[in-house]
Amino acid sequence: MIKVKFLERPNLNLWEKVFFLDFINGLKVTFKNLLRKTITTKYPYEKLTPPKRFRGVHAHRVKDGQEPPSFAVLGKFMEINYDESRCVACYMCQQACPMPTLFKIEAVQLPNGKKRVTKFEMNLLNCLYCGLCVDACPVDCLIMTDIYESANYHRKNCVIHMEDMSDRGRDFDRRRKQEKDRIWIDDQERTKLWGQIRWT
Amino acid sequence: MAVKTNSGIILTTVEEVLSWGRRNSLWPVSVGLACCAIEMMHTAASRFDTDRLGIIFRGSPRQSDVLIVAGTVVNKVAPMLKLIYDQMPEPKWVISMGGCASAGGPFPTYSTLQGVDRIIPVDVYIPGCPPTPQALLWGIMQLQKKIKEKQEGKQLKEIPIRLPTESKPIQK
Repeated sequence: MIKVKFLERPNLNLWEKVFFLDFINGLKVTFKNLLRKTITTKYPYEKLTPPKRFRGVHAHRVKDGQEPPSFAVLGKFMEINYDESRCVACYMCQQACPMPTLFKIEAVQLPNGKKRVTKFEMNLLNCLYCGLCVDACPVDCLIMTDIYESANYHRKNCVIHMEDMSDRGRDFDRRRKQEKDRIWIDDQERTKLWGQIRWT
Repeated sequence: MAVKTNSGIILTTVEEVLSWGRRNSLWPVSVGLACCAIEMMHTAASRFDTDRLGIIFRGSPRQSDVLIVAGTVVNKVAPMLKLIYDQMPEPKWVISMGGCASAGGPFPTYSTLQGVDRIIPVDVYIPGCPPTPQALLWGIMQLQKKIKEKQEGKQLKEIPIRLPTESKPIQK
């Protein structure tokens, strides 16, 4: 047997009956947001700039004289011209990747005994954008840019190659290399938010 | 406006208007399969308002034109997704959002469908894990371009990944 509980209706006075005061009270949040400034970004005309550490489409840094010291060791065995991708085909990115089959890296040995990278392809459809390959790169070659507009009509066009990767790397370094690589402006603000962090 | 096909001049004009109406009112089915669906909801929310582009999420496949496959398609859910696609009226389009729906993503396993294009035809693939709301909007705009170019009888071109222009602070 279902029991039904009957409640008395609240006795409203004339003032409340005429002007719907409870109703207006309930709409307070709506009216507050009605007067506020809109937060909508008009996307095709107004694009949000991602932070520098945004993990977007991959790119290759080029050989421009700013390599880390490890490149001096590895670069001796490589045939890389100036302003070309500084990849040394060490397969470290593939080793670190959770989905290693997305990389296709090939290198050949030239007649003078040096090594040259002929192929570096990444299938973006299998990529997790986790950034482990970026951490694994010993010569600071593979980076992730702030580019995210990579939709395409065919699956085969979602594969990125070495030439356009180095184009993107050149462009990214030109735009955002000098930018501060910090999420928070200073450590004091971070300490205020998260407390003192002890790195092990 | 000129006569390009066998249909007369009046019909081509009607088709142009129809195509204009279709690409400016793409109504997707509100179906989400995994974490990409969270980003799809974010796209529909107030920050990246899809209503500006005429994209309103519908609850029923009978009322919608676009199927945004957002998330991992496992073998168990694939028949249901196919059923939703079959229930949609013509003309219909499919956007494959994220790596999992497009190519199985990081799951090359027995239980995951290796790409939703094994069961339904896909128009636009959006890489990303998950793609940001802006990337999804970009994919939707590519679909609008595809509808327009198909109506005009043009050949579809490959979309290169463009380098962005210099960013300026927004004056508000």
